[in-house]
Amino acid sequence: MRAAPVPVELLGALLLLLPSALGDTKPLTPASIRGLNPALYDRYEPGSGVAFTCLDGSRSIPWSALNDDYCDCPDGSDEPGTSACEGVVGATFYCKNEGHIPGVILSSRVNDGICDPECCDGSDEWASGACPNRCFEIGKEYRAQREAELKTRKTGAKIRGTYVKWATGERKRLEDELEKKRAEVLQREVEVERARIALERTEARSKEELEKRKGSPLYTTLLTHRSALTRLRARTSRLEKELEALHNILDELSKGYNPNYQDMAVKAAVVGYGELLNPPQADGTDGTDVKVEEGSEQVGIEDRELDELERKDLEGVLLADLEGMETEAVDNEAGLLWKIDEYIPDALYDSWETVRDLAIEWMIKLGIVGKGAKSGGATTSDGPHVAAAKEAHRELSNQLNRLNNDVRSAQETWAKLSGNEFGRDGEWKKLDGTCVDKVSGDYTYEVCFFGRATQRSNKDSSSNFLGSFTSWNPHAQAGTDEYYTQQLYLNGAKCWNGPMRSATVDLSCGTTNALLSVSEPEKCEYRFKVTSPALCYPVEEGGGASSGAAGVKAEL
Amino acid sequence: MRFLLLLSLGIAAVLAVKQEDFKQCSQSSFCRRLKAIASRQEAAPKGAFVSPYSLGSPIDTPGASDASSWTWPMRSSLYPEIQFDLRVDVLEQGDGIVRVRVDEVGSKTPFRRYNETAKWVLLDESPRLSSSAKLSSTSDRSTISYGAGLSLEIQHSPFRITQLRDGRPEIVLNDRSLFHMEHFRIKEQESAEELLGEGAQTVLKGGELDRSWFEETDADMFEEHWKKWRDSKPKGPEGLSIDLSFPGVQHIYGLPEHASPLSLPDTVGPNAHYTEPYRLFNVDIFEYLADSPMSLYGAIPLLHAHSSKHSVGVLDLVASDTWVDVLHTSDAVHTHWMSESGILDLLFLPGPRPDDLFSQYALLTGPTPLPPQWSTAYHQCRWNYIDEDDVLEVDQKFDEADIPLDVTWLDIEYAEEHRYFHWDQKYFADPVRMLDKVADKGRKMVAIIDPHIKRVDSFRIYTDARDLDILIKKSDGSNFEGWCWTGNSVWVDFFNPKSWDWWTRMFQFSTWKESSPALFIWNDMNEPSVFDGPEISVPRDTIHHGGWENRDLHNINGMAFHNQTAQALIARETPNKRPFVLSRSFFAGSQRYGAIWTGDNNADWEHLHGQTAMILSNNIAGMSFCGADVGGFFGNPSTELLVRWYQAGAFAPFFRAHAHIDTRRREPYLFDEPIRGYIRDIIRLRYQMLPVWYNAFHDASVTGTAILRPQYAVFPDDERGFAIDDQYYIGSEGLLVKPVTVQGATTTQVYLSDNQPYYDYFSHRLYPAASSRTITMDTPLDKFPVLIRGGSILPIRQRVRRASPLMWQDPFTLIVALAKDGSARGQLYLDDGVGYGHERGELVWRDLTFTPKGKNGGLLSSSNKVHSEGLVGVAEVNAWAQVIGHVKVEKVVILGVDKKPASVKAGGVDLQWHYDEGVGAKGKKEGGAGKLVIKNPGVSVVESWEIEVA
Repeated sequence: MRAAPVPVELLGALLLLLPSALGDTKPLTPASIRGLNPALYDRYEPGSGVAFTCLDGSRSIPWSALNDDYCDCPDGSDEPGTSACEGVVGATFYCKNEGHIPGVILSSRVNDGICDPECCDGSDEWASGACPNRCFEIGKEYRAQREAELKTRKTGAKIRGTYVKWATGERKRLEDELEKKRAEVLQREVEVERARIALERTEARSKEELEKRKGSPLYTTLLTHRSALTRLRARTSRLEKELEALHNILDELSKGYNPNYQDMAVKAAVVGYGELLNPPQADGTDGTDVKVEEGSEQVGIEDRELDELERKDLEGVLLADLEGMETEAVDNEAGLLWKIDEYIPDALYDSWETVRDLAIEWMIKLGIVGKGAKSGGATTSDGPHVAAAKEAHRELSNQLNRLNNDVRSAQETWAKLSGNEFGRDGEWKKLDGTCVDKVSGDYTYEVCFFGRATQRSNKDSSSNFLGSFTSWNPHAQAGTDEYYTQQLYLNGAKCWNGPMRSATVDLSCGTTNALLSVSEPEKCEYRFKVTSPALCYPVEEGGGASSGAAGVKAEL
Repeated sequence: MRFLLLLSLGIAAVLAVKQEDFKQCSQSSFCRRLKAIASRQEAAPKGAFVSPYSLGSPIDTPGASDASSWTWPMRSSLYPEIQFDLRVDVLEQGDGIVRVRVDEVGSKTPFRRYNETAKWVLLDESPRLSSSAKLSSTSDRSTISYGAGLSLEIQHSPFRITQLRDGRPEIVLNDRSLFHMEHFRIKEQESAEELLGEGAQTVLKGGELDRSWFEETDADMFEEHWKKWRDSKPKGPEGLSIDLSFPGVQHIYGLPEHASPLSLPDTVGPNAHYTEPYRLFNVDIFEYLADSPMSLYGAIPLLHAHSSKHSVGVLDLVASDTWVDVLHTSDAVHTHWMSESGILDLLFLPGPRPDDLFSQYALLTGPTPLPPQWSTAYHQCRWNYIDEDDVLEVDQKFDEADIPLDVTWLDIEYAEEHRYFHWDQKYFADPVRMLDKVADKGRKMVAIIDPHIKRVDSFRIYTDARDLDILIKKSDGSNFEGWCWTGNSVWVDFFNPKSWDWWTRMFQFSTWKESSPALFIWNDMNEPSVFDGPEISVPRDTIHHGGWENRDLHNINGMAFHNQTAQALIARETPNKRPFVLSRSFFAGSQRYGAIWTGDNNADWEHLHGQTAMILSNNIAGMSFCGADVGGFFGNPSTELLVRWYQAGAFAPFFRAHAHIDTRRREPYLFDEPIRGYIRDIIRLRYQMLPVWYNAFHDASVTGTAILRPQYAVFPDDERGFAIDDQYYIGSEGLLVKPVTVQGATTTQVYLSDNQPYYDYFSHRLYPAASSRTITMDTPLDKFPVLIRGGSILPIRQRVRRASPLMWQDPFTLIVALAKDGSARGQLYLDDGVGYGHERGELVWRDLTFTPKGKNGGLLSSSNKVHSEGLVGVAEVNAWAQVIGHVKVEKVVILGVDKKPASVKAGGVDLQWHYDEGVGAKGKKEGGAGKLVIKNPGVSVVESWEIEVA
């Protein structure tokens, strides 16, 4: 259903045949056509023809039909100065606005009795003449505002410059660090490999003895208990999780429910939950209650104890006495050979290994050392020397992992700094983790850039997680200026009877990092308005010019 | 347990209404007892069940001698010692409206039945009586003759009243002997009879009359428990059972408001569509069902009974909880009304046509006054626009998307802690600044003022009302307190005259400084809704002014509040301006105070479909200014559903989009094309047609006619249209509309009753005249059936402005849709749209006619309709006519012209025109209509003129 004026059917060529439509060729210049955009002047040159052709070429009409307050052209091009073609998409009125910038308004705004600010010269209300020309003052205001904006821009851009500089330094620092860390990684990898081999050898020695002892009834009983404990704990933990989930639901309900809803069932649930958490004082005094709780806590068992029980190395226990006997021998005799491991250069390590193993084998055969020394490959139930080897290996592996993580994160940060994530010139890196907040209504809202958005109550200590940084403006091309005008913080705490909370942060240039306002246009979906110097691009650049154009556009 | 409770709660929230929150008939002792009478009647052998009531001889009603009013003593054989009076009045106006009243007289108890419903409903509580009706009486019957062929036959024993026209019975009271008025009794005496448990009959003691064949008594007569509530019932049983039969009809309409078909289906008998009676008891119902006889927010105890030969109506002036059973038989429709309290006070509307019923009802209860013109435009609402910035942004976005908008609404969250009047400063720092900004573009705002008042001493409205002692009281005399949006609340008793001036003062700009002439009011929750009360309302034994219990006047409560708010808005400006107050609850007479809407609907196809019948039902019951929340209140509509809803909403008298706080935002500008364009075009269409709507509102204000007219009301002879409730005509403007309410519908069928051509409003396709037929129209998402009936002239304004008040001097386009005889007729009514100047004759009312002339031509003329309609003292030249003297007709489009004319002239001057080939109104061919377009004919809307097509 087009809203085009009902049945504008074509008067067209027929009109030309009518006597009344003919002969009117009064001289006309495009500039004298009311409301016509100068960009279109060449299309409205009277030329030699007696007729005006609608800009869409659909028909010709006499020149006198231009601005005769009747819509002849389907594209509205015959009525630039009246509201007659109102409703035709693109039908506009041009205001010269001398002393200010020109404006373009919809045809429906012509002669509607309202002095539209976009037409400060009042030319849109030509029928009544009710709107005075206010272009001088509006233009002045506008320029003052533009200047103020520009000043903000310039100041902000200086601050932004420091962010960019910081980012450049940061990039350099990261590159240096990466280089250093990568070298370290290579070295540490060798050490880990050595430790691993050492460990393998140390293990497997006590295997035999262990197998023997595992047959004892005591051990099988222990195993049964262990399994029961594990299952019990699994069940407890599942129940605790469920309980916690239910607590969360009820917490959410208590905090988030609309107390005004007529639903008494909800109210009953909330009140009941409150009582569950803070049981009403019975006959006893506070003191007694507390004592009872303390008492019950003492009876309880702590996770730590259970953890220990569960983690207790049963095989180690089985072997405990054995280890006691052999410890010295290993330490005193074969230990040295193992220790040499650490001093053998990588290049010689393989051949050393063979030599060493042969040596140990002979030492065992000759009864110089015990069998336990034979291999490093066994479970944790091995004696202290195995544990030590394991510990050494683990420690080294961890160090390597940490190093690798450091490298990876440095690489990522570097990639972000060099890519789109931290702005055109990495300027946002400086603000990573910077928080801005604002008191609004009963809450204080906070967003930490690239971190989390939260809502804290001003009345009590409760707070809601509104979401964590997920992306820049998803509707803009990555890397464009528009891309950096919005951040999304998603997947916050779930609203009762609603969605997961989220915050959309609209960003604009300002001399400080500040949260200006917060609104909740839809339930649990927040909208933050934030300023930051990071968005104040240097004025000299293309950004300045394009922003100026945008300003004009907004004004239109 | 608690967790289970919570889980089940979550499931309940997905499903619809919690039916157990509301009573069924069997859960109310009065309904149980009165319905049992019908069961006994039905079970009794034919002819064996005879009414125990009988009349003595009539006397002229004391104080009304020489007038048509008579009184009969009435007794029941069940209680010979109790006396009742029957009084029958014939009214002077309304072609023979009869009023029938019965009340208990001389009761030995201190109790009396509620008899003030008429005071709140009728324009004149004691309407002037006819002086021409004649009574003749014999010992066994009295006959009153009146009006044109009307008579009332009153059979004395057993009691029965029949209204006849030309000897044919049309309304019968007590046809089935179900009439029963429970007399007042003293509990202590009754208890001697050993009341048994619920539903059980009394045990007869020696010497007692056997009443068990008719009347049931039960333990709940003097005190009643339901769920956790106790109803103290100090007056004991006072139920009223009446039966009304309508011989010769198969369709009855009315009893709004229910989500039911317009032609009311049976609630009892072999073809029962529902298992419960239709209930009239105003409640706040959460997520109501789309097809149910359950009571909703409003109640109008009015029925139309209609056949192709006649129409009659009955208005039952009862305001207590009322259940109505409906039963169709082969030759009549029978109704059984069961009310908790109140006198019998019936008005028989004689018809004989639906239009007559509209005007007879309007004579009694008043027509819909002309609303402010802007209130017929588009309203944008949401629970909630959160702050000043939000409001102004919505306003701005409509402008940017070039979608017109007149009114932005604020739901309850604008008020701090829901203390209405009291803007939340955190979000609305300077309400007047905001209102002024909105008003700068000719727009308005509406803010909600609910009747629950936060009970805190810091709230002036509360302390005022408390100190004035105008609050609703508990049965023990203390102020009633309950729970609503604002927490612990009290309610003003608007039945108390002491509240009226005070309430008016609250709206004075000097009192409510954060208000402005651009701010209007929404009265919600006025059933009243009490979250922790029985059936989500006040307990029935709460006390109102005059000592009446809420049970007696419950259904009037919302209207009393609505009325006072409307009066306050009228009074706040000098000279007075028309008020706009939207109410949720309503009763017979509410049309005088403003608009209503159909409450909290769901965003689903069933509710969209059902709303047409609901709105039509309200319209035929005088409550014309109504609409449903566009888009559905609960839930998120699909874009298809939303577009269809806008189409339906744009053709309802009240056009407002609204949404629940938990829904996604859905303001039209938020959508991508093509959806946004579809919605924009629909809203713009409403604006283009605003003059047509204003014509219809004006007609309603003058004659009481329905603004939306169902098929039966427009074509009362055509039985094929009697059950149709999904299409309708707008006033007498000749527009036929059928909202598309089926998902994915690419075609829609429309029933055309009369032998006239119809024209598609959008494409100008002509559907030729033929006897009644069904046509199939293409209805892709951006189209729905809007047809112009041949013979109509539509005045529209093609130029749409940001807000409707800005359109006041824009030119008109006349769309002339020729009838098959080549003629057409229409009207154009204009006034200043906001004040009361029209009551002093400051208006323009034109009669527009197209008269065929010669072989192929005709004369289009505009003449002053004011004189022709007999309004006295209104001049063609008046203040308003002068103000709009420059407003012209810019275009005339004549549809159904089968040949190109030779000339088109006005005042002898040739006009510019154009002809499009097409089919003519006289022909039998379907196709694009032959069309004559006249450009700038140079005629004004205030003057008389002629345009000649030759």
